[in-house]
Amino acid sequence: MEIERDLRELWKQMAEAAQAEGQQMVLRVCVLNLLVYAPGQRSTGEISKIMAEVTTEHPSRGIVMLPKPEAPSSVVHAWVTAQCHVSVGGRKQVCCEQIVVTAEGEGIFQLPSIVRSLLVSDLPVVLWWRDIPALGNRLFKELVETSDRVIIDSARLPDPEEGLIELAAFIQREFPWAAFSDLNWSRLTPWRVAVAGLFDAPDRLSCLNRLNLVEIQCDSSSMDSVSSQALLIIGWLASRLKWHPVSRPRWTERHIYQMELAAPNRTILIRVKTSPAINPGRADLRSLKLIAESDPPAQFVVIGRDGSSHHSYLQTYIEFGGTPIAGKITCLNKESETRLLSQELEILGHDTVYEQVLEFLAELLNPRI
Amino acid sequence: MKATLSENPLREGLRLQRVAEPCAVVIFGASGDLTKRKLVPALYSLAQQNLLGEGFSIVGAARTPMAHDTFRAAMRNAVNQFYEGGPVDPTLWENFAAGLFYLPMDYKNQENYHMLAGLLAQIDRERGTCGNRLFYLSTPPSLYTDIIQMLGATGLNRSNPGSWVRIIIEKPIGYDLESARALNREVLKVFTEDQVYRIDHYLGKETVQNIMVLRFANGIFEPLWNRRYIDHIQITAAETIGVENRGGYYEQAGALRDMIQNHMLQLLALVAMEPPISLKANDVRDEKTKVLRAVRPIPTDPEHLIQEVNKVAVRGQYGEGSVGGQRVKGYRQEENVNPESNTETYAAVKFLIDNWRWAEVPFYVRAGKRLPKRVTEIAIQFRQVPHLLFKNTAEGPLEPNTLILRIQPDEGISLKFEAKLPGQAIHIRPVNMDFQYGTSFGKKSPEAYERLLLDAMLGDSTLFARGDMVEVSWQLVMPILKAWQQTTPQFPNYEAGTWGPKEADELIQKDGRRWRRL
Ligand SMILES: NC(=O)c1ccc[n+]([C@@H]2O[C@H](COP(=O)([O-])OP(=O)(O)OC[C@H]3O[C@@H](n4cnc5c(N)ncnc54)[C@H](OP(=O)(O)O)[C@@H]3O)[C@@H](O)[C@H]2O)c1
Repeated sequence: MEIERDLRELWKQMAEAAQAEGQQMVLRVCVLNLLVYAPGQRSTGEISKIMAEVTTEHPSRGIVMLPKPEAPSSVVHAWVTAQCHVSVGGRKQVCCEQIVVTAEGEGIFQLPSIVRSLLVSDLPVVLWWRDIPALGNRLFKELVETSDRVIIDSARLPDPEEGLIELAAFIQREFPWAAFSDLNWSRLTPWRVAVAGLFDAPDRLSCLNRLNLVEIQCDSSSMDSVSSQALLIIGWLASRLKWHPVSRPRWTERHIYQMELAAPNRTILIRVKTSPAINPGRADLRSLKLIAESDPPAQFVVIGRDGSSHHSYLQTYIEFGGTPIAGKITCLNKESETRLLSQELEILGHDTVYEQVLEFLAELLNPRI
Repeated sequence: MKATLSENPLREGLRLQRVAEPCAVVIFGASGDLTKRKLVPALYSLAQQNLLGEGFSIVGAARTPMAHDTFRAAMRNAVNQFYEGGPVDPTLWENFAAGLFYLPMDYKNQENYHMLAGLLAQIDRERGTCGNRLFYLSTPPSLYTDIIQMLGATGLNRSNPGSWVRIIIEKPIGYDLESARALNREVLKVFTEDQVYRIDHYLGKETVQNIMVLRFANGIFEPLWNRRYIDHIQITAAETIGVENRGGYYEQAGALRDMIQNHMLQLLALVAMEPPISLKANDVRDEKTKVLRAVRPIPTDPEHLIQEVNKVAVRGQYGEGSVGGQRVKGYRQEENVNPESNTETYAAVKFLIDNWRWAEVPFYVRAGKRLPKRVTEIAIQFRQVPHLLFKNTAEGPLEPNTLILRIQPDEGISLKFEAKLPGQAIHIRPVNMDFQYGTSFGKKSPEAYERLLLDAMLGDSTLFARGDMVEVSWQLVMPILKAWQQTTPQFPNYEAGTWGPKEADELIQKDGRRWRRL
């Protein structure tokens, strides 16, 4: 096939160029196939930049799909480029190949078959769907079928409650074998680490069985919607701590979204306070407070704090029986999509904790309870 | 004793699973070089990566009088200078420094240890370190025993139920077999073996850990990993530097003690050991110890000792010369070195392992300073093909296949094999199939000290030397040390910037082999 021939030619040229300059052979390492579906791109620039960074850590064959479904024609066009970067230590070049496929109009439905013909054999296939997760979409389903792992971003869901129920159903019913991950869930990893860290000491661990109030503050992109981050963190606490839904969550005041969950010995009130997003389009968590009111009263708090343009901080704080205990500040990198994607590629298996979160949310948000 | 992390249901499925429990690290010798170059930068880096527990604290202890804030300022400078991730982030530092304390102490004064206990109790209360403590001995080794005895006498060696106390001991572990045994005895009077972490920073290197993965996660190497297919193994640790400013220490040590007895024998054990039954610390260390026990001892009959040692070991000392185009002094001219010193800066030893797998396969091990190149590697040289089909066509003898595990720099693995040059005639050339971690994965490997400190906080002693292992290693080199003490060498016997004394070449050549040209 033409693309394969172009690839061979590309490597040959690079090897020759390197030899001419007296450098070591160009090294070609590949650990996975990375499929990227990225509509709405005016040029390949942004995606190429992300791919260049991601392949530094995860040498892979990148297959970038740039669909333009609105276009009148149905032309499909593909070409190859190499992504080279200088390695740590700054001497040798690592190169990864990237195949870009543009598809217009009806041509987009050819993408799955083109992609299948371009995969490096016997290596894991990861699909990064850089669009609203379109679960009913035929193209999406076909690409998921080709992949071992699928990366989406629930921050893109226009209606998080609805979207997460659908996502749960989709994963459970249609693709139980595919490992799904969610960049928005990865954004919460530092929060989860911070919260978990508060309970590492044995005397605090037992407080988990006494928690009865959870207060969450988060940004919201629109007035009457709760962010998917807030839902995911509730789902996480509940599924880990075995809390069960009692009733559907409701808006008790304009900015207060509230629900009750049940544990064997108590009910837990969860209250989410939303405020307009500071960064438009981002609905981030701001703080999380876990409270046990029974004696001795205890509070476990994680607060996001602003920092520089590159990062902010997470500050933890504990009050136990009325005494404050020194907390910790950790860096919360303003995780770019690139970093998040790179972290996701480190793991290839199912994220069962995430799957359990979705399962819980499907139950909680189910209109029938 | 541990396990609170695994009991925490919120930890499940978190990607940063290797997170330490809340604890306090007490560094004895905190005014020293190692603390500022390695330990505190490594701990800050762990904090920066969010791998330390809540309330993590450090208590620095040494004789130098210093206030907490002076220590904090000194450590901030140290991190700025030695932490690879660049200058500290002020907000993070402020939080990290709030957990930094300093206690001036005389290591031999019991009262000072009660003060230390008081400070630790206060830190437990105020910062929630839960009575978990990691002591780090970073003083001159002559003080180890005093400190350990005092920790015992004041009860600092004991932990409360649910918490832990561990101790890290820096190299050198002993000066010879007897002193190593004595130190182990003293340590074990006060601590149990599972509390003791003897550092061999080589084992913290990513590529060293990769030897296990290469051997036991791949099906293709292990079947060849024995006397039927392997001709011999060469382990080299070459440094270009001299003794820098550590002449005083090196005078007492020498290459055999400084490199071979510990690091090189650890590498040998990793390459030669049988597959462990699990990756648990003691299962791995059992196998390593077992293979070291199988190393053939040098006969110690006093009459023939020197002769026997000369058969398998060579020492050298560099004179002046040039390294990398720069003139450098000879060892005897270095600072804090006796101008008539007989300390060896180079040692090469041939080891044989008397077991089924390795019978009669020599392991040639060499380590030296002021050699032409900085390189640490293990080269596994396979046997020649049994029948030379190409003897009439090839220009010379065919090169045997060699598998090279490069530890530093340019960590990686390469395999040398023969290939035909394109053309009508058969011209055969060796080619290298080269895999380098650095160029294959853009991600940086963690620093050895980061890995080891975190492991110790997590209670994982796999990458630390166990007492019996240290003693077996000393046992192996003792005859050499004794013989060398009894004779006066003709030093210097190699020029700085060359590959060691010619006797080292003879050592391997008399077996019909040669050192790899590096
Ligand atoms: N530096 C390295 O790269 C390195 C590498 C491997 C192993 N090590 C080992 O790690 C340990 C510490 O190394 P280092 O380089 O930090 O050592 P160092 O700087 O020479 O000494 C550490 C501290 O010990 C105290 N000290 C020195 N001599 C003393 C004496 N006679 N009596 C009481 N205290 C004394 C000093 O503090 P005060 O004067 O304030 O008490 C000094 O700050 C040593 O055992 C060394 O062998 C070091």
